Amino acid sequence: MHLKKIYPTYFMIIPLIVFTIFFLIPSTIGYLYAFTDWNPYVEKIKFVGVENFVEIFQNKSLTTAFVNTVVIAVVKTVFVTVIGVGIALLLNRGFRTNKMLRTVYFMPAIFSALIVGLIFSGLFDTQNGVINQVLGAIGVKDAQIEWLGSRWPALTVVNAAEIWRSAGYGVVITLAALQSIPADYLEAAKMDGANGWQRFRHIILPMIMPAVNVNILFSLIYGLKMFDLILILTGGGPGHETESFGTLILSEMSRDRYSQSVSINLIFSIMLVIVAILFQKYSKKWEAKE
Amino acid sequence: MMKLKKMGYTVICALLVASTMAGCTSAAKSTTADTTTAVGTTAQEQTTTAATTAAATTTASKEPVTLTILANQDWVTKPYMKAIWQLYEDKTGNKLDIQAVPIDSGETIMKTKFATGEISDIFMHFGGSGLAAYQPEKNFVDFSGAAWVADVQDYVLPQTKFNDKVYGLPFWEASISGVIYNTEIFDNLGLKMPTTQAEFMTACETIKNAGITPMYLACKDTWPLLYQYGVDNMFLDSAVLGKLNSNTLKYADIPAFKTMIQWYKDMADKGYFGDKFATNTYDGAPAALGEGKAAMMLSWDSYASSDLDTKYPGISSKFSIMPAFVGAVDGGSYEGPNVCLTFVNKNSKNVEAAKEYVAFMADPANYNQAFKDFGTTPVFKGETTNKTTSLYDSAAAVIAEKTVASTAWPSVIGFTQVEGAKYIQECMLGISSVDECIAAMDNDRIQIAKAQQTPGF
Repeated sequence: MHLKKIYPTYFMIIPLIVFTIFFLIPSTIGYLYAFTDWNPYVEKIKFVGVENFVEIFQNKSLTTAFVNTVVIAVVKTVFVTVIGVGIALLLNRGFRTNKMLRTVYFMPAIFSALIVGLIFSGLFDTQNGVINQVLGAIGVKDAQIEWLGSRWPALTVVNAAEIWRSAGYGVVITLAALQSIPADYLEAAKMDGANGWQRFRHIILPMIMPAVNVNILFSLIYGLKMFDLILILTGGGPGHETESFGTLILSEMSRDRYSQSVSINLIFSIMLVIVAILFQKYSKKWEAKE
Repeated sequence: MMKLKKMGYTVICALLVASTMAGCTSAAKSTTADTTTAVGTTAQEQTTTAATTAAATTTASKEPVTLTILANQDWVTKPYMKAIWQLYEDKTGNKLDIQAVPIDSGETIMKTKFATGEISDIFMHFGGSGLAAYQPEKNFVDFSGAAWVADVQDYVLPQTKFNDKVYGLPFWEASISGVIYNTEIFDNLGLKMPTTQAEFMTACETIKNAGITPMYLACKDTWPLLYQYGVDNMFLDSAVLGKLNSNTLKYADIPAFKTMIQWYKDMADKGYFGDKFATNTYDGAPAALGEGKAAMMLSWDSYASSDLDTKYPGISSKFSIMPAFVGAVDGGSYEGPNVCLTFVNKNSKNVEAAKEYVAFMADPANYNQAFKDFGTTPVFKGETTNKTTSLYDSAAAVIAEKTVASTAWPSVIGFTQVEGAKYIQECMLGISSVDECIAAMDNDRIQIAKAQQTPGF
């Protein structure tokens, strides 16, 4: 009897059924609305083919949202990964307070987007924000910067908030990978005369690349899905300047353009899948081969 | 032993499935958030002691009923709403479950709920063409034959109608909208209430030179741009409105529309909204006005008593209200009342109790109690306990001369207060030109009209 081999299969059946019924089928049916004229005014929904997609691609806001989303995702990924690796390397050294510091670095990750958004709204408030007050105190001229009043400063604040919130995950994942590196490898390298940078470059980095890749993938995906912080910090404004795909989807719904909203969601989902597949395909080259 | 293990695994599987399904919610009280919609909040109104019987014209349901009310968060804090709800619960023994949605995303949440069939027993919303998204004929009780319709003021009644049927009870304040201004600042600077657009701009320059922000504009929240004050004047002629609503006229064809958008741009460029207006919020308005940092704001007469006095007691005595000089009309204009309506979901299982609730609100004995001493012009003909605001009294003669009916919201098909204002924000910040702004606003309006299958679009 191969009970040990077939039990995992048995365990998968029910979750698969639940996943199919409550996620796969509704999502698929949901995306079909992208090819209709669905809005709150019509009783009977009609099929309209690709009309919604043609209209969307003529919308200037889509380009703005695309650029903003990519910028946020790339900047977040780079910083979260670099900061994650950097802090993890420091925490991996055995010093007294490293366990407490791990908790401190991870704490922002447990805050909700609302809390993080409100914190950064306060920090970067034009009149009373701490950042502007500090800048004024150190003598910066015209220190009342409208951080959330224009596109690039606002996106900087969004990125800062998101990096602060997410860096903890990067640290924890990288730290776990660092702690799985056999000490013998590093000792042997040391004995062979390798300096710190060489040990990092040729031993540590290749061995933690699977974890770094996980960090990069999650950061990319969550960065591309950026919605909550933008909604809280700027609402996608001023105008449509800081829209991301997520806020644009909501904006279209607000204008009673439900089918166009779903169309943007479909385009975005395809983009996410392509990014994930490409990343999975090429990231394996960076990992150490056994 | 193997049998025990099998049972154990089966139980674990069942628990996993159950915990997965526990995340699903049904309708009713809680508002479910997904990743693309904001979360609404639910406040439960607790029943106080229900000792007395209902008022003469209202029959209470025999068993206590809980009625759900869906409304914008700002509306549920109105003192007359709280008063009538308390009165209703005390007299009938029924409970009211107030489901308040955030101000900025309220429309989206409400429309989403309607689209998914999650409609409360009672719904609050402003009337006019914006109601089309909620399909009144399909969802709301037709009150055209109700006794209280005859009691509604003539200047309010049109707003209660959709396709010539009365759907909503206008239980609301009837405020006059324009520009509220600090008379103390004006007096100190030797200024009088402007009578022309040029005088208004001169006043702004004088105030700015005195180191005070001429007009506080809560730009970040978008809706306080209140461009409908200008739009109202453009469609008082029903022929012009008819052309717009049949797609034979556009915003771009109306010179006053361009002048109005240009006004917003000029005010921004000249610093009359302040240097850092892009991040001004509506919540910051009381402090700006109350502390004398700003002299004016686009608003309505009851704002001073309902919002300023609560934070700066007595300050409303320093304020008056002038016409809105927003570039559309040289002499400026006030906007007549916009009233929020109370609708009954005709497909609700509590429809009879909800109708009784509306009848309760429309009873003069009850509404006079709720509006007692509240500063508003009356919505009902039998409303006698309200008092006019000090701002209204200080400008009564001008108000009588220059008030125009609210037209933009109720009558312009495809008019959107927030989405349209976003394009004005972009224009004010130099992101787009005036013509690009108007083209974008036209495009949005036309798209909505097309979606509504309006003839001509």
